[in-house]
Amino acid sequence: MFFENIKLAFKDFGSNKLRTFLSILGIVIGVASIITITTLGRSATVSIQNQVSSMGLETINIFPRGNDSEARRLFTPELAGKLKDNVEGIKDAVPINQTPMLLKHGRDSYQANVMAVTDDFTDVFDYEVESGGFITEDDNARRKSVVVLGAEAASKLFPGGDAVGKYIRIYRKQAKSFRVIGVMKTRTASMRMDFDAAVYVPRNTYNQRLKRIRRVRNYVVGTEKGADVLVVSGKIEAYLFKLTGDADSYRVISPATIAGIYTGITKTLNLFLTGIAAISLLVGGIGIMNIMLVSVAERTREIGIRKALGATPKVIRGQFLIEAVVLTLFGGLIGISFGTGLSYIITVFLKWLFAPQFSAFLLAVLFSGGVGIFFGLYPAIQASGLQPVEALTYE
Amino acid sequence: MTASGTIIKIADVKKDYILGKAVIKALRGVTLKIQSGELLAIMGPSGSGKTTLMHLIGCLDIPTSGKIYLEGEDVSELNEEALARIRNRKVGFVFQQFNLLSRISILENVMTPLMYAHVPVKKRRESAEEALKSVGLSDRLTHRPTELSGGQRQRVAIARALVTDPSIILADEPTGNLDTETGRSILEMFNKINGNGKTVIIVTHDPEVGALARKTVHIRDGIITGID
Repeated sequence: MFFENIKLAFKDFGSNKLRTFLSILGIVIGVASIITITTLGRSATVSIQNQVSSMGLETINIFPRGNDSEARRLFTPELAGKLKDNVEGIKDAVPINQTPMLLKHGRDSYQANVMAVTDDFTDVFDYEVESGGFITEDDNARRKSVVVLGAEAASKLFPGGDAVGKYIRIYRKQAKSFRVIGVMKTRTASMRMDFDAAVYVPRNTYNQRLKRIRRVRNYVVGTEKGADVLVVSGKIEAYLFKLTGDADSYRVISPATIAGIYTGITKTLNLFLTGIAAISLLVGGIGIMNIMLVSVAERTREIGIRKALGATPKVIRGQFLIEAVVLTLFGGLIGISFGTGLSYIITVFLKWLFAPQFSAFLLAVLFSGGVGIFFGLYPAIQASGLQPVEALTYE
Repeated sequence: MTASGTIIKIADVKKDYILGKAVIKALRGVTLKIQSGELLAIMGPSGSGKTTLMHLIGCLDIPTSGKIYLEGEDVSELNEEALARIRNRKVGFVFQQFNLLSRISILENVMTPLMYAHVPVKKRRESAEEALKSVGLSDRLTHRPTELSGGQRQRVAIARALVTDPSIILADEPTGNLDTETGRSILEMFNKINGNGKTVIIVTHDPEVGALARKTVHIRDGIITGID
């Protein structure tokens, strides 16, 4: 009887196509918005997470805040050693100093951030060499006038390629010559650092030949394998607080905390939009109830005939309930297709990863079915309660 | 036809309808015994209460007072669920308006009572095809009722009434919407059904139907005025 009722429901919708479409429109819109919201929310989260993990989820950035504060005085080259000694889970603490300077090679010139680095820089940032090599401990110790170029800096200064072994001039008051010993692979910018547009010189060379380093601009901390980044970052904060006594004088940021913030925002947005979708489903459900009540009134005679043939009230109730559920499920499926299509188009435009959430599909199906049961119940009870004699003689 | 016991017993049945503030006394105390295998006509002018009596016999409604027994079972105070089951098992209806379901094929129409009896689909189809064959409509199984003539529709209705093999067939003005010739062939069908041992009750004001019946109950103003 179950399948007959489903078949019957489809027959009925087929003969009232426009009415059926209009009555499920609310459900379609509601479900489509739920699917769009959840799919976009997930796509955004996945995209952000991907971006963040490309930055290196295991790094922590420490900045001083404000001028002349206790913290700024604290950001000396020695802080690296103090951090390593006092905070568990730290592998490297890389001091970062950079200044924009003009670079020239022949007639090609380029404005780049010159960064003062040590040999552990590539390790912390998971940064790879394309050709040649990176700054070594020896380069730093002997204050060699060598430079490693970021991908973009290399292509601007050496449009023909083949930079390794050549010399460039770095302008700082006067031109200083540096030998190129390596070119880096391209890497996504992150943590306020545009890797590709920078060039790298040994820290000691930078200090002596380009700009005197008094304070470290910021530290990038690489955590030990298996250490929880958020825990280490909490410990760093606690240690810095112990040193300064002022929580506002420094800032500890990790991609993991950024990801956490984004996820939080997405969650709030999801909740808000889901609320709107729920309202549209509610309105859609009322539309279904209305159309089912009309249907019951129109088919009073049919109900009478079915009762005369032996249909119990339960059977009639089931028939109309199934019809309502089929109607809303149908609307739900259309809504899922629409929502998926729409969110796919949006992700293509925003260049996000398309990450549909199958649990959301399931939820949408269950929800639209639930709306059918909830709003179909009253009309179905009305139908089942009709008196056979009155229904049969209904004109 | 030889009587083999009482199949329907009606004892002092009254039925009131409330229409706004007025109470309409459709039946004012009817007592009647119908023997199994009878072909009975209930005749009376419109408003006499004959259709109400048929509804009560067919368990479509319950009396305001009095008792009705179908095959010995008291059906006068049953709830809607129980009444539906009795209608399904014991009674086959044929209406003046045919009352077929217009959205489905005639085969599906005839299968419907079997669906409510929870007969498996395959068996349903077989029985329905057989019933339609017995009324000469084997070649129209997939047609909608609206594609058939009045006489054909009434034959579908008869097939539907017979398909559950009920002991009682109730017909309410079955020839009312048919021309004389077609009406006659339908009545002949009822005669045959009765010949097969079923109790047939026809509510009518058509004298030709009365002539066919072995027994005629005359009703007027809610009471039986004569049986002949």
